[in-house]
Amino acid sequence: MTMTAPFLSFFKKVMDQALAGRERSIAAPTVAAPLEKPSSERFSKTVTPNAVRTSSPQDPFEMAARSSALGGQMPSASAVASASSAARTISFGATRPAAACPGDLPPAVALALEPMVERVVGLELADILAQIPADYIKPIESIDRTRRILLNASEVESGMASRKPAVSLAAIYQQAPEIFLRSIVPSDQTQVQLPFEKVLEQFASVQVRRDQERHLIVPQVETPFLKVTLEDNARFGTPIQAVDTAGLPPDLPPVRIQQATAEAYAAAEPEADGNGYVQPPIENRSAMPTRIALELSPNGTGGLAPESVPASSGPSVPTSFPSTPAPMRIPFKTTAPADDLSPKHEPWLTAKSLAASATTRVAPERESKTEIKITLALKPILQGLPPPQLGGDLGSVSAEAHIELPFSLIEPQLAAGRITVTPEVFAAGLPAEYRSLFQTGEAADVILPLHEVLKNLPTASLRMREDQEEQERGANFATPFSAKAEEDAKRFNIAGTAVAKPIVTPLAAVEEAQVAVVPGTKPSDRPARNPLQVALETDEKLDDKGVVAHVNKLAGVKACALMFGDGLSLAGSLPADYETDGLCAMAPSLMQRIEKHMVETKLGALRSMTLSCVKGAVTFLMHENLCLVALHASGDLAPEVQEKLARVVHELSRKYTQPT
Amino acid sequence: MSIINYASREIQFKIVYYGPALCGKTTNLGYIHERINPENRGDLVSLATAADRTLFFDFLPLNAVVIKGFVTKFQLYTVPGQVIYNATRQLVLRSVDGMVFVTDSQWEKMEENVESFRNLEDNLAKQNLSIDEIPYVLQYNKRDLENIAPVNYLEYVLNNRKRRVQSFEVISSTGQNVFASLNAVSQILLHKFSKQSDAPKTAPAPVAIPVEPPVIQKQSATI
Repeated sequence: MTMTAPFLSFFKKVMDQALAGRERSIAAPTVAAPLEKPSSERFSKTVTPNAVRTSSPQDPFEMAARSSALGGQMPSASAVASASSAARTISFGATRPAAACPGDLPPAVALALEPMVERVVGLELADILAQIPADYIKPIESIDRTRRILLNASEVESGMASRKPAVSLAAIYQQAPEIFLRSIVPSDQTQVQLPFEKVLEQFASVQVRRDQERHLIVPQVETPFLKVTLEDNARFGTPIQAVDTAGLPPDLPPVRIQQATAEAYAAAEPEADGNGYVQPPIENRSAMPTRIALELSPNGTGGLAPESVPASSGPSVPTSFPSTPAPMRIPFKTTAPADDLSPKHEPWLTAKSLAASATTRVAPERESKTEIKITLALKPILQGLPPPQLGGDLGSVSAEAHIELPFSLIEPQLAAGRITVTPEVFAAGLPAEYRSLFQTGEAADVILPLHEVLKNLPTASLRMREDQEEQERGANFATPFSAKAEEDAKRFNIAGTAVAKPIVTPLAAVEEAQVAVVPGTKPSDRPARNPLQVALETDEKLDDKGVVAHVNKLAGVKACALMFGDGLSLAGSLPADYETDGLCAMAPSLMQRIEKHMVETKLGALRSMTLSCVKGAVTFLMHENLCLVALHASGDLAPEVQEKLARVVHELSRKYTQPT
Repeated sequence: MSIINYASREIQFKIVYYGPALCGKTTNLGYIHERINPENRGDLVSLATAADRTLFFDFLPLNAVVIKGFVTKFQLYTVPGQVIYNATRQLVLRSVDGMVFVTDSQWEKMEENVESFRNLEDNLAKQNLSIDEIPYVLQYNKRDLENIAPVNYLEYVLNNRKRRVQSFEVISSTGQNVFASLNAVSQILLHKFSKQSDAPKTAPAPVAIPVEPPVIQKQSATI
């Protein structure tokens, strides 16, 4: 008879399940507790706001033991990724579903999901069994002595300095619990000594991860620091690897020198790629998740966390690079300091001198040939020297003595209103016979008289900029000032207008004349002459004195003078012993009278009036209000000379009646 | 910036005579004061030392013309040219509308001219002004002396900027071209003001005017 008791059957059922579960728990390997690392030892901490993270404990040792590539090396990223991704889930926000696989994850999340593998030291049980207390482990005969266990390298390192590496018994229990007779709690402080040589051997075989990227290695640029480093290397006898260029190609690409910004570093790295940079293998790259810049700062500083934060929470791994070639290096000069410190030609301001300096490096001999020099009278310069710089009597200096100085030194100072040269330059330009007059020991620069420089300056050097814009003059409002200005203009017999822009020959024309004949230069390349220059066949800027000087050079003309119709003299070179002042003052009015009478004749307009005298002849030419007096050298003036003089008077008259 | 008084319909322009020491700035003002009609000018205020060196500044108010319904007035100032009075120069330069830069044409004064011009640029820069923004003319003074630099060199030294300004050969002791240079800068200022007043003004933003409800007039009983 079978009694049916529902409660009893239920009790049996529960008991069977409980027994079955207990058997399964005994058969299954003990799940080791994760290694808890003090927060102070952690190098990195990822903070993801608004994220709910659920993460099951991950045992790195168990994971590494599953890998076939043991021996202290890091497991491959692909292997550990598959093992780790399933155990860890991160969800952002309340509605976002958890990511399922790395491929679907956002890059930043995938980066955060990278395996956090500890550095480990692998040892065989045979190496440590002798150090474990005998009452803790099973008989040695029953233990597989070749079984390798992985120990936390950071724990072992602490004893390496005293040559006594040790590991806790609990750590060994976590790796090989089957050899123990009883369980070891994690808090057990029993230490097990490890063989120093074996551990050292393991550390020596440790390698960096293969997918590592070189960071901040840029081509070497010659800097003061590099120079001192090399000097120190030579002084201390350390190997000079930084300047070993033996293995480099002879022609290195130029290096861009720019500010050391993050962009500059990023821009510099591709240059080095082709010259020995180690790149991660392509397959590894494809396996790695795409990284994006994570805009979160671990410390809230706003800066990006560098990617070089070690994956390990322990101390950084000593880097060894046995197989990588040396990074590209830039050869640098190791010349004597005297060569570097020698004075260099400074380009200063002008485009011309800049161009000259640019050609200096290419063809210095060529530049020395084409260098423009300015010749100055020596005496005025020496007279202006301060007494300490003067070393003798100036009476011995001839008025004809000159000094030649490089125009490139003077031209940049023209706009400053003060022109100086260094004592060395001045001494170098001095004629040999006058060098004793100048004391070079004084540090003060030699001031060149401005008027002396301007007098001997090529007119083209005072060129105005071509892109100048005229100031807006505005309308003519009738003001008390404008009325007074007109009154003054009449009173002073001036136009009362602003100074016109000087017409200056471009410097190129002067260089052309002074340096050499440039083949292929056409006459049309020269600047246009004004009518007065055309009449006198010169390119020089002509003022009254210049006109007189040019007229005096004409054939048959001994001297000349220019004057207004009222007898006011403009300029002249008539010899004083002729005492022609009165005649010249009277001549214009005389010619005006004669001209009135010429209308009544059929001889045409009066062109000139010549007074032929016993001791010489004088010709007067007049146009409107301007009169030119030419003293004959001998005989009459040639018709072409007279024609030229007539044109000069005509153009001068136009100049003074229509001032610009 | 010119001062516009809309109530009295006046506009005041401030013109500063700037330049190195002893270049003839006060002489300029003295000549203007002497020649201008007393009806159109005020008194020349000059604070000078016993040696007639300008201690603070010279001031001469002038009345000009009526433009666009505004009476234009010019206030002429000079600055002390000596290097040590830079603070005074900065003070005088405040709210400047136009300038006359007076240079000494003598060879030995070239460096001082350049220094003074640079000082002018620096002092304007301290007021966030550029010399290219302010109307000015150049005076090459003392052209009657013998030891003078040619005009083309003065132009090269002082007028070789992007904007070429008007320059005048002046003999301030006799008054030659003194008014010409003042007239030039005043014309520029008047023209500038005239253009500004001619510029189309933006239409004022519409303003909502409250409409009052119609008042019902009560018929008052006439007794």
